[in-house]
Amino acid sequence: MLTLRGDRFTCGRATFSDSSPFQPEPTAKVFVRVWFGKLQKALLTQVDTGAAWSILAPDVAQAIQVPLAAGDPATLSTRFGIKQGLLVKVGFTLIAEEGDHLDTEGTFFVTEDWPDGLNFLGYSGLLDSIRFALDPQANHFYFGPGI
Amino acid sequence: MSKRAKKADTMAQALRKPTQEETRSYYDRIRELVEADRVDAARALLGEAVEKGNHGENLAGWQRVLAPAKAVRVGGKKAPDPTPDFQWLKDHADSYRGQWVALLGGELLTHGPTLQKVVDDLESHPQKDWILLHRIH
Repeated sequence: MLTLRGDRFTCGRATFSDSSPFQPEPTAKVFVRVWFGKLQKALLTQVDTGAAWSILAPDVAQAIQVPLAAGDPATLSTRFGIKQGLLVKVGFTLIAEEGDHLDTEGTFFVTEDWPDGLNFLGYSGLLDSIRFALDPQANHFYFGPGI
Repeated sequence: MSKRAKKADTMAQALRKPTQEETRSYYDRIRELVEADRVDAARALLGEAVEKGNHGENLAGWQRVLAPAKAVRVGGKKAPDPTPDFQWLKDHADSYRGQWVALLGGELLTHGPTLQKVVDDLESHPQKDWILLHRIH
């Protein structure tokens, strides 16, 4: 795994997809495999450092039985406009093909007014708390726990 | 500062009228910062509120959602290379728009209009962890 000045920087490596047939935007993106909650199946999820918050699609939130009653109401600006929903903590796993998977818990915005199956890993309360690096030539996404 | 000046300063602080901003609840001010994507400022204000302590507000929810993500565990069996599944999505997406698909090793296992239908179809599959589910928009 990657090291920084002799110390371990990341714990796992995953291959990411840089294109998606379901995205109208032609620019390259980063899609990685993630396990959410106890679903036990991987979901392709976009890593978006430009998004303030992570978003979990309503059907996925329902499938993993996210405790919405414990969420905090918020109105956020998203790529699909202003949405009302809840901020909740959700457990998820970044899946590694090399090294170790990373089980962690991040803050996600969940709103009914959102397309099914469209999940994002955003910056606040998630990417800002882990370490990650990209090798765009090899389509490799490296990740590890924050310090 | 002399003792007299210090006392006068303390009294001035005590008699100072709170600003309009300070009379609003921490809860609402934190929410406004969160909604403006000013997360660092929201965390700083939350820290101030927690330190102050006697504001009478329940900020447990904000403490939970504004806390940094915590690594719970690292480890587990290595996953197979997903490239065949990514290639399948590139090659076949047009035929499955609006549907959830389940892929493994570049092969379609099942598909359907809802996540629940696909999950139910895969209930007895032996390699659950490595199945890739995706909704094609």
